[in-house]
This record gives sequence, C-alpha cells and structure tokens, in this order.
Amino acid sequence: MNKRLTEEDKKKIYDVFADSYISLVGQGLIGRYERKIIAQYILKGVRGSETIHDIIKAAENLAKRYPQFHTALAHIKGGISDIREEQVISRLKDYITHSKHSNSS
Amino acid sequence: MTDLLGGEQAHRAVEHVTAATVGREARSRQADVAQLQDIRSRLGSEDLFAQMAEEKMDEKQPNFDAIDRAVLQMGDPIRQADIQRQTQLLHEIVDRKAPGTYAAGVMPDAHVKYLGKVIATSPGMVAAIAKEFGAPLATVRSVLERGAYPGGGPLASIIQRYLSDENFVLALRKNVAEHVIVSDDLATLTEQIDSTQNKIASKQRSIDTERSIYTNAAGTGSYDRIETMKRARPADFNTLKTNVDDFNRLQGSFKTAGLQAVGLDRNGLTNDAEAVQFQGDIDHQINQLSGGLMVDHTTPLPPIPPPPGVDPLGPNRQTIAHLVQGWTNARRVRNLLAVANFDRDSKDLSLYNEYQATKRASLDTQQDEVNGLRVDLVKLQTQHGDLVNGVAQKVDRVLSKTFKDYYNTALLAEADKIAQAEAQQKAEDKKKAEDEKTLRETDAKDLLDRFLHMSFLKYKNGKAVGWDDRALKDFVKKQMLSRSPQELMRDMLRRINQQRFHMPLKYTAELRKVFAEMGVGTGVPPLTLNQVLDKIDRTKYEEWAADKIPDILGYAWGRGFYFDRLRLKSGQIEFLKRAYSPDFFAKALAAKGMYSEEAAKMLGEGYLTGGAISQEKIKQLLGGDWVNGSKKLMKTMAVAGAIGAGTFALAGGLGHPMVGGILPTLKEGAVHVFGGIPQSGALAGTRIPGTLPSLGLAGLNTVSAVSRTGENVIGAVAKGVSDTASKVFPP
Repeated sequence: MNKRLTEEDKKKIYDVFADSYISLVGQGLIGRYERKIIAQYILKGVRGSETIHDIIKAAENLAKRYPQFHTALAHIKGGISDIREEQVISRLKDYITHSKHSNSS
Repeated sequence: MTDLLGGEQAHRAVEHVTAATVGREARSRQADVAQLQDIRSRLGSEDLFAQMAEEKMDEKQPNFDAIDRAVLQMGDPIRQADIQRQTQLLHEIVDRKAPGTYAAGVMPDAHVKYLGKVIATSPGMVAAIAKEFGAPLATVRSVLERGAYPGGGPLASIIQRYLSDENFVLALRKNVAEHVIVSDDLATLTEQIDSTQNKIASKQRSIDTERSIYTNAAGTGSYDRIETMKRARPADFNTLKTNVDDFNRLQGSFKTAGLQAVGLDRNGLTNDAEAVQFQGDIDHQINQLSGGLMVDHTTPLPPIPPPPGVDPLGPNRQTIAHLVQGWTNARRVRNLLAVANFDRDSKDLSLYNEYQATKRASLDTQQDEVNGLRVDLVKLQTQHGDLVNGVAQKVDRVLSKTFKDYYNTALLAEADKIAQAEAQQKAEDKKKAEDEKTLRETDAKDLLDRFLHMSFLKYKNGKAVGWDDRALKDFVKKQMLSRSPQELMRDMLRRINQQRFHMPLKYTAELRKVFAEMGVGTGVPPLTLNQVLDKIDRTKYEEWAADKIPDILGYAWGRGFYFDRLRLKSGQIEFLKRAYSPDFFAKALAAKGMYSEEAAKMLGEGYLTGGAISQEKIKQLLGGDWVNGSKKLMKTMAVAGAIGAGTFALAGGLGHPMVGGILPTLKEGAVHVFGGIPQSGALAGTRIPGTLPSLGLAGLNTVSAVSRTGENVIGAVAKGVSDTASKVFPP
C-alpha cells in the first residue's frame, strides 16, 4: 500500500495539484502573494513525500493553512486515489508477470 | 508608465477606472489562468509550481511597532493623533493577506473613507468617478473629501474594489515597508537627548542653587541685599564696611603672645556669648596673675615703686596688660555684634565681596557650559524631530503614493492586459462573425443557385411532376410589382425553406443541414429563418436579385407568364423604376434563353410533364412546321427596355387583333405598356393573355419592336430564344 512514489506518480500528483491551483486562481480565491507561498508549499510537500500517504497528509496540511484549498482537497484526494489505484494495478501486473515468469522457469 | 492622475490625462483615467469598476476582474483572472495554463502546457505542472515559487515578491514587511514608537515622539499632539489614526488604518489594511479576507460588506467604513480622501486629491480619478456616475466633478471631489457617502453605496463599492484588490494591498505593504522606515538613529538620538537633558537639568540646578545664595529672582541673596543697601543706604553700607573691617581686624587680635601665654588665645570671637566667656576668663586670669592686686580688668595696673623698686605684679605685668587689651578688644567685638543685623549684614557683605571677586565668573562659566549643552540639545532635538516628522510625512503620504503606484503600474498593467485580451477576443469574435457571415452568404447563394428553380417545381411523392405555375404567375404578376428585389430574394430563400418538405428526401435533409449551417435554430433562443436572413447584407440580396430574378422571370417565361408583356399602371412602373436598374432588365432578357434551355433539359430528362403538354399544344397550334413558326414567335419575344424620363417600356413586337390595343410606348409616357405595337388599330389597355401557347399564336401576327433600345437587345436575345425554342419544342 505504501509503495514509494515514482517520478511518473509525482508528475501526475503535480498535475492534480495544478488543476486545483489554477482553478482557485481562476476563482480569485488565491492572490499573487499566496500563489508563491502555496507553490513553494506544494513543491516542498510533493518533493518531500515518499508515499501516497505523505502526499495526502501534505494536502491536508495545505488545506488547514489555506482554507481556500478545502474545496480543492476533495479533488486532490480523488486524483491521488486514482493514482493509488494505478499503483495497485501496476503492482498486480508486476506480480502476475513475475508469477508467470516464476512458473515458467 | 506615466502618471495618469494629472488632470490633463483624466480621460485615460476615465477609461481605466471604468475598466476597474465594471467587473472585469474576472477577465483579468482569466488572463492569469491562461498564463498559468500556458506555462503548464509548456513546462509541466512541477515547473509551473517551481516558477511560481520563485516569483519575485517583495519580502520586506512593514514595521508598525517602530512606526508607532516614532509617532508617539511627535511634538504636535493634534498631528500626532492624526498620524496615529492613519498608522492604525494602514496597519489594518495591509494586514489583509488575501483578497476575500474581508467581504466587501464588512470592510470597515474607515478604510473606505480613508482611501476616498486620497482619491479626492487625484484629479484624474475624480474625473473618472464623475464620469462613472455622471456627476459633476466638484460634487464628487467634495463628497470624497468629506466622506459623505453611504458605506454600502456604489461609490463606496468602487473604493472597496481597490481595497480588496490584492495588487493594491501588496503595493501598500511594499511601500510602507520600503518608505515608512524608522531609522536606528532615532533610538540613538532619543537616548542622547535624554542624557543631555538630564545633564543640563542637573548642572543648571547646581548653578541656580549656588547662585541663589548671592543673587536670586526674589532679590534675597546676599549680593542682592548688599547691592540694595549700597544703592538705597550708602551710609549704612559704608558703616557696615567699616564695622566689618573692624570686626575682621579684631578677630586677629586674639592670637597674641600674651594671650597665648596663659592659654586664652583665640582665632576670633564670632558671637557675644563667646566674647562674654572670653572676658570672664580674662578677668579671672588677671586676678590670678596679679595675686589679687587686681580684681579684674577694671582695676588699674598698680604702679612700680621708685627708684626702681620691686614690681608688685612681677613678670606678669606685661601679660596682664595684654589680657586687659584682649578684654577691651572683646568688648569692641561685642559692641559690633550688638549692632543691628551685624551678623547677617557682615556675612552678606562677605558673600557680596566673594561673588564680585570670583563666584560670579565661576558660575557664569558653568552657565556657559550648560548653555552649550542646550545648543547641543536643540540640534539633537531637531534631528530627532526631522526623523519623527519624516516618518509622519511618510505615513501621511504612503497611501496616496501607493494609490498612484497602484494606478500607474498594477491597474494600468491590468487594464493593458484586459485591453489586449479584449482586443484578441474582439478579433476572434470578428473573425468568427466574418466567417459565419461569409458562410451564411455562401450558403444562401448556393441555395439560390441550386434550389431556386427546384422550389418552383411541383412534387408528388418526392418526384417533380411539373412547374408550380401558380407561384410563377404570382411572382410575375404580383410580387414583381410590389416587392423590392431584396425582399424578393428573402422571399425566395424562405420559399426554398418551405418547399424543401415537398422535395425529394435527400434534398430535404441537405437543405435542413444548410439552413442550420446558416444559423437557423442555433443559439439561445434559437434563431428563426427571418432572423438569419436579417443578418445578410442588403447589398448581397441586391446582387443576388440581379442574378436570380431574371432567372425566375425566365422560369415564368418558360411557363407562359410574360413579365415583359404586362400592362402596367403608372404607379407600378414608378415602383419598377425605383426598384430595378436598367441593367436588370437587360439581364432579365438574357436569362430568358438560359432558363428556357434549362426547362428544356428538364423536359428532356422527364422531370416535367407540364412542358410536354405545352409541346403538344404548340404543335397543335403551329402545325407541322412549328420550328419555323416558333422562330418567328421568338422574334416577337424580343423585349425592348427603355427606361427614361417619363417613359418606361419593355416592348416586344406584339400586335394581335385579339389582344389589340397596344399604344406607341414612346409617346410621352401617358400609358406604359409591356407589349408591342399593334398591327392594326387596337384598343388600349387590353391585357395580354399570358400563356405560352397563346403567345405563340399571337406571334404570328407580330411586328418588330418599336424601341430602338429594345432592338439592340432583341438581336442578342432572339437568337438564344429561338435556339432554346428548338430544344424546348423538338420536332
């Protein structure tokens, strides 16, 4: 469950955050000053996260600090869940592939 | 960017305040979003955040604590109160970190009124707001200055927009941080001032205390009293001086060897009791030293017996004599001490002398030092005042400066951005509208080209079964004479739309698609055909009319409805003259042949059955050599068009006894006809039968056209018509 995030995973996570970030800018809910701080926070949060769990925790902290992100949190969590599902499926595939190899050998 | 707040540039401010107050923030945000999405699409989400994280922002924060401390040191209490209030408001405004922290409705009214006053000093902004509300300039300025507007009103809401604008708040925060700076020198100066003030106070107190012994404001100092005496009672002053001199001299007389010998020497006698005691001691000592020969100083010294005998006082005579002298001096001292106020006056005189001799100079020197410190203090206080006032001035101006900055940078940049976005949008809209217009017009022309003639056919079960003669007749005899070319073209497009339901299915579907492409049924609410047709330029209709109406006349001609043979009333002629150009009828003539040919094609291909019936009829009428007959006929079809002052005629040679009555059309235009010259005297005003067979019959007896203009046309047209006829009516 706590598989380490790959670069590809993080790329997708950044996309999820960027969706919410741009949406909030469009709604006028985060100003120029906050844009910088929140961007720094997201970068720090994602770069410092090793698992999905860390990411969710970072997103929740962000929402605590910037209430504007409360509404976006659901979207972020939803997006992250999708990534987690992909991770699970990918691991399952690995497992199956590995099993096949093991069986054939 | 230039400062737009000057009056001479008020007009530009008007535009921009409008930009900032008519709800274009959303567009501005959209521009931001577009920018972010652009970065994201180019660099990816992570780099978007990286770029935003490195966005250059002003990190410097205002130091309101230092400002408050500086303001507290202001000298003028009224100004201090004003600056304190402003500082408080500035602090509250810049403490808002994000737009939306304050909802517009709960924004403190004081903030609005504070900025309102600043705006009142900007001629451009006042002009802009005046423009916005359609109010006189002076009224707007006065209202802003006095804050005489309701907190939730429209004027307040404009100001609230600025106060809610993050750019403004950021600019204010930046300006307070960068410009309202309290120098560290202020603290140093404050300390120096305190120290100097303390030093001055201490030294001055010391000087004043010391000097007051000699001289003071009450005039009770020793110097003061002696001076007063000297001026007012010089005799007393002189006596005092003498007495004091005596007294001082006597004080030195008690240290003689004689007194010393008996241990009664003194440094002086300063009071009466001491003197009395001294005198008592001397008397006692005299008694002792004289062996009783002398009771006291009052006893005369006993003489020494002659020739020198033994002195009864022995060696003590000299000492006793000194004692007697001492006693006498003591008495003199007592006498001086007994003089009224001698003790005080003598001390005063002593201090007077001392003050004059040294003390005054010494105290003056000290005073000079204190005065020097006072000069230093003034310098320090001036520096301090400059610093404090500098802070106050910055507080006083920072909002105004910020507003200008905000206006000149943020707001105008924003306005530029909005303007660019608007221009781009406008260009896109225009292009889209142009594309739509072009498409609409192309489609309409295409419809006319491809379906106009089909719209004049009759259908049964999706197959053409003949011409819609009623429509053609109606067109020639009614519509042509009452509707303008533009209206006719609209009518034709409407007709195509109506007729599509009768056409073969594939056309029905295609036409629906084309009309939809032109915009019919699109939008909310859905556009009607008439609304779509309204969007087509009048000139297009005219252009198409010039092309298509002759076509329709051609169809009609093919069906025996001869527009060129109508008898027209003067009003109808007038209408035609106004509605159509001369060229139009030339084209109409030219079109005859073309559409007859087309009609022939249709007949040949079995589309139509009506033509076949006509063919039979014509054959019947013309007999075997009907080709030649029809050629003759076609000559008579020549239409002469002449549109001139007072006359109008499309004249074709036509004179048939049955139709009779064709007037010479060039005669002063009393009656205008479409028709020809009668071969024999005919009755004017008789209507020409309008069918092809009857025309063919009539043609046998026609003569050539009368109009020379018409003749020119005839030559060209007749051949075409003749050729066409051979196709329409093959042998």
